[in-house]
Amino acid sequence: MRTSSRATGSASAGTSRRRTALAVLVFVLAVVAFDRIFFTALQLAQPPVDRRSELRKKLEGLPDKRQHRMLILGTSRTFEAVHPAYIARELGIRSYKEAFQGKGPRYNYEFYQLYERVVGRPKWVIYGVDYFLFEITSEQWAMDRFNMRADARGGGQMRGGVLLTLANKPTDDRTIVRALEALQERMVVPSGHQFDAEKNPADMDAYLGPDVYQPTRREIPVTFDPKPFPPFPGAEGRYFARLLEQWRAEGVGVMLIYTPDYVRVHERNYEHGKAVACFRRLIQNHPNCVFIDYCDPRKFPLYRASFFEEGGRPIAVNSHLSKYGVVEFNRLFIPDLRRFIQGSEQRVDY
Amino acid sequence: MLFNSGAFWSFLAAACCAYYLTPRRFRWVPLLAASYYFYASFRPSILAVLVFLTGFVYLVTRVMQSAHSRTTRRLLLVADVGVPLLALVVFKYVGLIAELLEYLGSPFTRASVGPINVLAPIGISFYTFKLLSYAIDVYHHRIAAERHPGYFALYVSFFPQILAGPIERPGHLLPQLRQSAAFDLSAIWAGVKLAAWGLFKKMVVADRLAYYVGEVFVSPEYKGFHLVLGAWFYYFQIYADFSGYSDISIGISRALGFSPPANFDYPYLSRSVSQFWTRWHITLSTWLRDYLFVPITYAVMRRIDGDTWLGIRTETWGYVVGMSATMLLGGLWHGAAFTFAAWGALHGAFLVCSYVTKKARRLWCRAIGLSRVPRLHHAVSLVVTFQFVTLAWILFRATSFENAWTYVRYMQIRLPAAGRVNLLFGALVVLVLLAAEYVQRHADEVWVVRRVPVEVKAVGYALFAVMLIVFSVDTNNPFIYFRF
Repeated sequence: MRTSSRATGSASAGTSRRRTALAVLVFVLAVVAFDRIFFTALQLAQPPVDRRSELRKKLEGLPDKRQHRMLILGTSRTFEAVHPAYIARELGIRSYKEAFQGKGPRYNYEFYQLYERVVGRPKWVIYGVDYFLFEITSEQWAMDRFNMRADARGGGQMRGGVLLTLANKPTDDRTIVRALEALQERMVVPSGHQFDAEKNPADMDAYLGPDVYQPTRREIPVTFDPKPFPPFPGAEGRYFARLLEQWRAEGVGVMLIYTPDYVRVHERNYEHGKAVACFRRLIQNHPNCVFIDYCDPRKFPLYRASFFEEGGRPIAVNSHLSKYGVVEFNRLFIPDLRRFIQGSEQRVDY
Repeated sequence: MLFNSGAFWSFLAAACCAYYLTPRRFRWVPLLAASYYFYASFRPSILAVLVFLTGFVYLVTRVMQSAHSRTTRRLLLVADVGVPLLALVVFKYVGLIAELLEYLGSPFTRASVGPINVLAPIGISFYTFKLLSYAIDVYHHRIAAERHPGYFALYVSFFPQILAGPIERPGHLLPQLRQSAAFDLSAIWAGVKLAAWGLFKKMVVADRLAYYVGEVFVSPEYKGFHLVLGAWFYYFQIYADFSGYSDISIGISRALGFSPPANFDYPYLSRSVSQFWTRWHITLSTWLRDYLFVPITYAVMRRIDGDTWLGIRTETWGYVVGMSATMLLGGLWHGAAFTFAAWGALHGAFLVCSYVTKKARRLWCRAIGLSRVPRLHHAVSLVVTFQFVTLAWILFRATSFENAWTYVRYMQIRLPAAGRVNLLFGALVVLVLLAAEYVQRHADEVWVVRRVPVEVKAVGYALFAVMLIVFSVDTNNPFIYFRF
């Protein structure tokens, strides 16, 4: 009797172990299967969300093409800092701004070729450079405009791995955000004008910077994650060098500007001096180029939280000027730009 | 190293292996080393504060335990409580005190001390409370002073709890540290499940809701009904954020063989503000009850001769003063800002009003017939409590009184078109949270959960794991309560 109950007990323990092992196997297989299903669904969701802007059509539709004598390139930091409306008001020069998040040197290079063909050669270019300029890659949604694949970090080439959704997490996030944005556009009943600086050149012209700034009461006790300067050429630096060469050959006046960073970001980017030296070195044989560093506490109050979108945040990996910061920035930038234009015109004239 | 970062999970795997591979008697060694390493990973210098306070309280409490004179014991208790409190005040509140002094002195002098930026050691509010409860419990002979410095240091610095609780009592955790549990796969599995659910709450629910809530709070002007919804969502955001953190912390502790106390009990189902405080941040509210409310209440009652004073019963005086002071201090504990103090004071006012009007409300409910329909009565109480608590959250979340006032002033019935998709997505996320918690709460009653074979459950867990990856927000957002 005792032997039989022991035998039954060991048999049930064996069954339980087998079931556990089977459950673990099912779990692993199901994770891989669901991963592929979600990843494929996200891939399918991408094209209709991303390929909606027709850049060429936008440039062709630009009114008074010849009057756009100035071109502004850069990333989101330039988008928030340099505004055609101010330049037009202060200097009477019409400019076209293409600066936006996700646009690295490669995008700017391709864009410039198209812009030159469709709109014409600009007389001046303002290029907003960043600490991370040689680290960023143009994103796939932007490169789609030229029917090109971005590199892996830009979401153009998918990374492999056991879990594809995890390996391509930034791309997944972008797809979800863009899908929501697209849904919002469809859902909103048009009541008046919907602002879209990427689609409408008039919106880009009228934009004056973000009206957001959220001060935090107390410091969150964290350590900074010091960030070394990613050296030239990095991911897309060669396209930046190509652009500089092209502008020298074409006699286009180029103003490279380093817009102010919030003090937290400035502290994090501890090799700022190295970055400045790198940009100066890159333009040393380019008489058509000037470089001005506005991310200098002696020039601009980097500690003023209200001047930055990320003002007051103890952790920030990047920073953008707020509407109020733009006003202060323009007090420095516009006179410099005026001097640059006058100097450049003199150089052209003589 | 935040709980929602990859580095933390690698660290945890290494810590668990070291813990279980060490003989039971010496398991405190890898656990203490892991705890100090984890804490120092935020800023090495803050470890010095932790070690100093731990050493100080350990030594003084040992001396206090062996002291015979009542006066000596009292003096040692004052030192034992005073030094950690002083550290808390210096690191956390000196800026606020300077601001207050400057404001009070402004009519007389133009002198300004300028902004004082002291970088408070992370988790100081939490481990200070652990140290205080240990000293007070030893003083009152509720527990004996810990002889082993290693166990005591581990009690203070135990890495799953040091950043934001749960605030463990020494009488509960110290015995567990002395008798470390055997390796138990089912306990580890239960811990992993809970921690995964905590990660989901934090990275999917709280961080996704943060987009909508942040957008609404940052500039409330003309946001209409989004302001009402934003406040409701903030309730769920902070709940998912903090209870998510607590679940991760409790899950890790369980995987290591400990049984920490629960910190949340579905607070959004509270039917009164007093019930809310038995369901929200339970370890803090019970701490405040035992070490602040009860002593203050008895002190007030002892000072009143007779059963009434000014026609009001002594118990009522005790409750009103005790509760108001406790909630005000509890509010300030959350942060060095007057908005937090006001948040605590508002909760104190709610509780006092609730206590004073209890009889009248019961009579009123009976008069209108609400007591005859208990389900409706419960539903009404739940909705009303939810609104009161949400109103207080506005003060908690706002950056200033002006911001809070602007927020309330612009509330409207009209729902602007902008932001509707984020709203829908937020609502979906909240529904998922509520549905999942309903299933958890009624797991024994839900037929599907009870009868489903383990292989099918494995498929469900797999789906959950992949959804956690896909829908989580990849920003390494710090937990809200790390600030406090």
